[in-house]
Amino acid sequence: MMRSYSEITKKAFFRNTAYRSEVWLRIFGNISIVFIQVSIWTALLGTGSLNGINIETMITYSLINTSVSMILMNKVIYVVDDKLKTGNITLDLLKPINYPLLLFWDQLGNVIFQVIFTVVPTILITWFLFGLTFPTNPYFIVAFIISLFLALVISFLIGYLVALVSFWFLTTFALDWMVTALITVFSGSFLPLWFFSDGWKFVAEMLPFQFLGFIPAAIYMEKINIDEIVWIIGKGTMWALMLWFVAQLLWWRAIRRLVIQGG
Amino acid sequence: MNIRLFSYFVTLVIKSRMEYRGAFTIGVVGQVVGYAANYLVIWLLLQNFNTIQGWDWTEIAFLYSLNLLTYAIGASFTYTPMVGLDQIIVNGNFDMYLTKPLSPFLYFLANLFNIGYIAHILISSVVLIWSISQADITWTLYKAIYLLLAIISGSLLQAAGLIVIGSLSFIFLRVQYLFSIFFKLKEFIAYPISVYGTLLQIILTWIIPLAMINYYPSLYIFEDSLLTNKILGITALVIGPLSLYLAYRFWMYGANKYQGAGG
Repeated sequence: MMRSYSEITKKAFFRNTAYRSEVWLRIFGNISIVFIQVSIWTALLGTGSLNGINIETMITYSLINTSVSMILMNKVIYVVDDKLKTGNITLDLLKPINYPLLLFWDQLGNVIFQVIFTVVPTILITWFLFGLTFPTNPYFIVAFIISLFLALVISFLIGYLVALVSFWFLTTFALDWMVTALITVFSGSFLPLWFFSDGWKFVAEMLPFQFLGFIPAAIYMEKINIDEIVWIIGKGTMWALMLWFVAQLLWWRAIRRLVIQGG
Repeated sequence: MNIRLFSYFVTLVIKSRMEYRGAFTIGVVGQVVGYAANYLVIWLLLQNFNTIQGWDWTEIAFLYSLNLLTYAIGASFTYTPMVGLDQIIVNGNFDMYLTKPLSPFLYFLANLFNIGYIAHILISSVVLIWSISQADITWTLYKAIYLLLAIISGSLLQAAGLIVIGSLSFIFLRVQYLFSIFFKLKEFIAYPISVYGTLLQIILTWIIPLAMINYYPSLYIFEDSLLTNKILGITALVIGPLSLYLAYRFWMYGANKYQGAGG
């Protein structure tokens, strides 16, 4: 079973190599974003700091957050949407493989491609341009890797859940915009949760989106108390399990309702 | 092709889109939420810092909205035809626009008019009007006319950018990546360009004059006692129509060179 999954991942990886020319474009895009954010933080912070956050911190934060956003899987919504509209989903359902797992391993192939050809070059170039700090405590490094894995799983499940909701409402486009909006604000893309006022911070901490950028970046920068890390990772795991449970529930209802358009 | 025929075409396009009113409305709501998130992030940021290089929240909201509004107006007419042009040429569908006794340019734009930008227009004009009412501006009739002209000029400039890149389809047949670069560059003007270095400011003013869309008009409106602001503010009104004219000529040049890819 494991072999068929790794084959799916491998295939997705090589499918991406067909679009090699887009790689430098993504690198350019990422560096622009980091550059804009660094410029603004420089204008805001200068050589000073606010709440113990200085410009070096924000450079690292911008880079880690931008990089994490490259490996999120919430756009899986369009894969499911496309398969529903073309009716190709029947081909996947015929395979003796759990459908969401198939999707996950397929997306993982994309992510591995992105990491090698976009994220690593972006990090190297930004490191060269602006400098970058690294975690030193092995405990944080392990926690960071776990948090990356949580970001993958949670973003996948959110995208997958929204896709399942579209089974009923066929409103993929609007739902994707709303999810993107929530991620923009509550994953701390650009503005970290450190700078949120109490009310907004409370909302952000009640939602799973903080695991899609802010938490990995904060752990990487050792800005979370060491005794809080286990609790935060546990919270992320609970979110993943909960989303998974809801997704399974919706899936069984959706599959019974599936009407292939045409054919 | 006169204005009456053009607007008749556009009305037909809108009517056909309104066949699916439910899906359309949900889509609009989704996009409004999406952009609201971007405003919210800037608002949260300015809760901490009050100003970015002397620009407070209402001024930044004005700057951001001016960019979004002019983009939405320009893109309504040009996004779908220009981004789709390479595919239309490859599929051999472009001939249809050349074989009618109409201006191919205007017929092409009218036929592919996109009403989908209504969401952008809605949220950006609401915020724009709100920011005008809040900001510390001494209004004169002259200034009100200036704002109106700046919106028109900015829309023309945004449209010109899309048209120029679209025209390259006649030569290269694959230009999607150039659009991606264009949109990345436009990210730079979401904030006052004074946060960037001198070189980048010169590029954004004179080489790729994106700052003429929102930055210089905003300066003119907020601080017209400075002579440089006055000169650049007036220049911004000229750049829009001028670049649209040049873009139009470039497009016609490409269309005349077009030989048809299929057949």
